[in-house]
Amino acid sequence: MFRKSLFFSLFLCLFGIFCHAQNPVVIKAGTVLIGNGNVLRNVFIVVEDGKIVFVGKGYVVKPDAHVLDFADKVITPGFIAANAHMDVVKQTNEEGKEVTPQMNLLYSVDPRAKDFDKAWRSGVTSVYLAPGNLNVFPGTGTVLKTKGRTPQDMLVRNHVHLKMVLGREPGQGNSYPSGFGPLDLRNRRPQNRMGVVFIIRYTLTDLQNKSGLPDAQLTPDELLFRQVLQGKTPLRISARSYMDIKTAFRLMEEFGYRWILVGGVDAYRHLDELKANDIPVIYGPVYQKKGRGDFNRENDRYMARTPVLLAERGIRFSFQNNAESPISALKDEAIHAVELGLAKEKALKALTLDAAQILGVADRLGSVAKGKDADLLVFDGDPFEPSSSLLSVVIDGKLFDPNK
Amino acid sequence: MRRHKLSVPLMSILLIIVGICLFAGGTEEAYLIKGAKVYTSGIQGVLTDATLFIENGRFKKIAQGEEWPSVPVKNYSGKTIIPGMVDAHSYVSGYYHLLENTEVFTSDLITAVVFDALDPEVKLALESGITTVNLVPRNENLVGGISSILKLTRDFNNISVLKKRSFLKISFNGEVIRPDRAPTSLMGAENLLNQEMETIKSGLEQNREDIFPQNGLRSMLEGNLPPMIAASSLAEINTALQWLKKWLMDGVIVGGEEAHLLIPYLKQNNVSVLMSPILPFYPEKWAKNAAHLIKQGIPAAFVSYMPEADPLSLRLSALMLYHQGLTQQEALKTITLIPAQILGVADSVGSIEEGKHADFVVLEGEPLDLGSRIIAVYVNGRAVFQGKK
Repeated sequence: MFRKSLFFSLFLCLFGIFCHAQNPVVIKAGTVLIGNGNVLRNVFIVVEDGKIVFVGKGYVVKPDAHVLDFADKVITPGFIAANAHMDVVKQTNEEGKEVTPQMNLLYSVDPRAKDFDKAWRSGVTSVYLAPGNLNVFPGTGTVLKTKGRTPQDMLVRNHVHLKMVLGREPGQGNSYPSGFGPLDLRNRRPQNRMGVVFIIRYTLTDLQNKSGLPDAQLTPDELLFRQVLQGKTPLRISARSYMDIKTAFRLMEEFGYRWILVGGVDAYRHLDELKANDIPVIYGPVYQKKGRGDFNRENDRYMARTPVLLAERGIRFSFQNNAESPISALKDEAIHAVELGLAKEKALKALTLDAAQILGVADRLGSVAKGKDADLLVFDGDPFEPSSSLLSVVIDGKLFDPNK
Repeated sequence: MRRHKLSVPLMSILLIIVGICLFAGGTEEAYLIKGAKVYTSGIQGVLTDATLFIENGRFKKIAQGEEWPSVPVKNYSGKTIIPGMVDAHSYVSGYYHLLENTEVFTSDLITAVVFDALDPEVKLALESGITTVNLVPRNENLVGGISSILKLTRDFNNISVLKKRSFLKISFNGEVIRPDRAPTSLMGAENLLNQEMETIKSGLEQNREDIFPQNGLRSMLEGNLPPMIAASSLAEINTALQWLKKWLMDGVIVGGEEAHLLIPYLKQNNVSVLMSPILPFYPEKWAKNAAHLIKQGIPAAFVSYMPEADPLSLRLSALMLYHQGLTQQEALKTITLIPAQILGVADSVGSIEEGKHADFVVLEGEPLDLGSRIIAVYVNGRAVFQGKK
């Protein structure tokens, strides 16, 4: 038995070495849009062990290499949803408390969910997922690939950004009309914008007062906030209306955090401040179902030209989807912006390298370069022409057909 | 006066009858079981025409064709004997008492106190061949309480408890997550549990005395009480595994419908799985997945969740595993020896081996044939059920 298993494992090892050393995947690419705005023509992309090991001309193809011929096709990096709303976790909101910075939904993710399928079939190979908007500090986010067997396999980086929600959403469900409903855990602060700002200031001021204490005496919650105040972890502030964006700036002056604007319905009214403070914007979705109740009324004010204005000012931005817009519409957001005057390179950069840089994962994702993950899309033409279609998706060096 | 005179012989006759009855019961202290085919679940494998010598409620000797002491003989020729089944997750007789749903943490409750020997469910379980149960708190609390391992009996004066504190029941199941109180999400449940454990840990470090000494979380942190985590879906099992890893503990997962998706992580963490029974309305693949889990070497056993499921489902589950390519003995072990090993009581129950408790089930035919009826069930060497022959 032992001998048998020994032989088998030896065979497996040899087989593994054989596959690993002898059979890199070589992609003959006609046009490569690298992701940073540059274009390469007629090059080889060599993928080994899920990583890109060579991009360029003059590669000698070994006779036993696995060659994929995309000589007349256009190759781009996989798209990254810098903020995704996907139906992959059963409960995304922990409503026991308003301040729950330790929450992280990596292990609650179900990799078999249909939304992951929708995502990679539309070219989105990586997504950022974070707890929902019903808390003031809902938790930290996680960057995942959209194909895999377990969340651990799909993980790119965990504990990315601490989320903070401005506006009325944290107050959603915290109040009943007087005389109705039970006095349960939901009947508490905040019920509106004032309460949200109070809780943020209360939490961060409390921590400022503890600045003399060593790390060992702080709770895990407080340690996370300390990292925010020290500028190690950026805040990802969900703010739509101009008054929430103003609040974010005011609080920045008071507490000195780094932050990223998510939503940004009225971002075009604050272009100067955004540029001056170098604040990235995750914008959208412009095209969504309208008029879902009182809370999301401000969503109706999304302006389609905002990406063009952001690009003109040189503000780094990317696109997102939300509950009223499917993850597969991420590329459409960029296409619409292109129609309104956004340069195609900028649109691709927003979907790939800029998104990776905003998320802090540009060492692994975002462009076609040596050392990065082999997440590639193969189009039969210009990716931002509505007529061209997605032919193949490569995730971690494995080829998938999105149309099957 | 005349009436009194008459009653003296009447009383004496009655006393004699009672005495004979008691004496007859008493003679069962030592006897032989002969003629049956025995699935031992132990190292001896299957014995045809075996003889079991039972003394003082334990198997004294198991062999074929040797010199045997002259004790009463029970002949079960043509019948089959299997070990008494071990149900590692049962609510038998206390379904409504095993839930103290006032708080999320009720880690100081012990389930042994709610066992009701007179409950008809106990009779049903015994008649189905279950002789040992791990009585557990329900899934609705994040930390439900401490489970106890009992021998099933109808004699409420002599309830034998094998282990009073066997596991701490923790639940990451969907039943814990409710909209009207924390936790309202799976990640929140894990976080809430971590916070509670940190609190108790800091109390332990400071030798604080205000913690109830029976507190299960405290015992678990001291390493005296392993956790048993209810988790069914991939996300729940994944969360449970990460939690075990964080606190450097070995544990048991109960439910485990999608455990086959996480086999490498189960192996890494030394986690065994108690699987909910394969029921007719479950998806077809569940049997296949369960068999896959066992073939990959994960210690996995079936449990009944009685009275949520019928106790017959244990034998049904083993049968389904047999259909998935396991041998009859392997399949039978998932309801006898393996649960006993997972519970840590395999030195006394779970298989027919010398020195172990004489808990066994006599069947008409093959044990995995659901058509073969149970003829008799013995617990501690005493017949607790005699069916129609």
